[in-house]
Amino acid sequence: MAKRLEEILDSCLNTIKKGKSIEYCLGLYPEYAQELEPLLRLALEIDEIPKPEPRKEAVNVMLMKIGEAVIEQSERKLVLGKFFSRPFLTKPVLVKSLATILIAIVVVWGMGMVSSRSIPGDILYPIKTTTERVKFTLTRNTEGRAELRLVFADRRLYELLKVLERRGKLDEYALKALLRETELALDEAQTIDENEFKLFLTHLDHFNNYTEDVLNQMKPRISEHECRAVDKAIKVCQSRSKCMMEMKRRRGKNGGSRRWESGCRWK
Amino acid sequence: MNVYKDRDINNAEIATLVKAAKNQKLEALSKLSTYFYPKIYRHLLYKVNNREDAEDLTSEVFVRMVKSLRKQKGSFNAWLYRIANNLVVDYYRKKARQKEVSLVEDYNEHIEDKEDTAESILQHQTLNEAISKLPDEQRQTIVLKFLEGYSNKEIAEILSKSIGAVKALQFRALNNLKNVLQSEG
Repeated sequence: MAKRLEEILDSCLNTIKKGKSIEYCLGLYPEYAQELEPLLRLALEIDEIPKPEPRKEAVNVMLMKIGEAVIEQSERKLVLGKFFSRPFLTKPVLVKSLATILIAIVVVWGMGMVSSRSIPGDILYPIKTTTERVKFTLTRNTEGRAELRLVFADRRLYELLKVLERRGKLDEYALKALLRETELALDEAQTIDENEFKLFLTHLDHFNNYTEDVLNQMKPRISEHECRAVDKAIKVCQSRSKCMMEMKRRRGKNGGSRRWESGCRWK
Repeated sequence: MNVYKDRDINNAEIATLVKAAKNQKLEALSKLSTYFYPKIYRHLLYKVNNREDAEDLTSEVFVRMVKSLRKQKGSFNAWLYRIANNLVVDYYRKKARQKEVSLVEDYNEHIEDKEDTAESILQHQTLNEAISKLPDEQRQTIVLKFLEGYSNKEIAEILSKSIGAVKALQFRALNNLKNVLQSEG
């Protein structure tokens, strides 16, 4: 009996999904109508619950993280592929040298990891920026380089907030670097495939809007003098947003401009 | 306004995207991630009852997806939900006890339909609270079926159950929900 009711309930849910009313379904199974009706009404109520939606910033963060994971994977693949294809790996002297180099790499990598959460003014901060420069130089494909610029911009934004939190002042260096990295991200994306460019533009636009929001939120916490620099940065973000909207609008079969317009560059 | 609400992608399109994503095509990876993000996020939100934790876990699901996509076989949906469920197990293992945070509070923070009347908002809250009180598998069935619109077959793959078992879970979940709502008046 219970088994039959499970089947009937499921069949009624499918029928309702196709546009029939609850009354129509109850008419098909009058002997079960009393048990079915509250369950079907409840199912309809659940169907009408507004879905909790994720925040835009959270999706942005996820896109950044997967971008980083892709870059990390392609770099690892490249390094491992080259390493294991070497025939001299069988010679002991060379193996020792390689082991030394590997240890050095691990030490450098370890320092890089430790320095990754440092902010301007910390002892390890120069290591962080050097690691970034090396990573950027080693990245060969344009797509990866453009994504990497965005990752760096995200880090500058993090540093900007951390400096404000710890030292209570605006770090103009991080602000300048943040806008510069975002600017260079588009410059790097000049030659990537049109479809991938559209997607990249969406990432860039989300990040730019997010930056603008963060800068606006910072204003009550900084001095009047610092506010002027932040206002200028917000203006640049707004110009960029308009410029990207125009780029998206004009993207047809033959593409369109991929260049920043005047007012979008940080001077 | 939900900027990430894509049109529904059918299974054939998902299969094509997964194939491209396995070759590390960034566009395919991003499309898959932005399409599945809200689904996985809601799935996790109902499990951890905390928005920030659900967001962090959802991001981690997609990073793991990128890292192990090459090894993926069978249903992509089911695979992705398995990663999410494994992360939830780790999450609770790390936590000494489950956070006593109301789902309704988090849920209210980001429902987007501001035109709802106070009465319907209250009704949705009550219903949502009742859903969060259901046993795990029953709650998952309700969320997957009614909030995400998955078919019985897809739910069966995600939960590693037979279609008959999914129908039974659905029946029991609705019955329990009815009882919870009645008992709360």
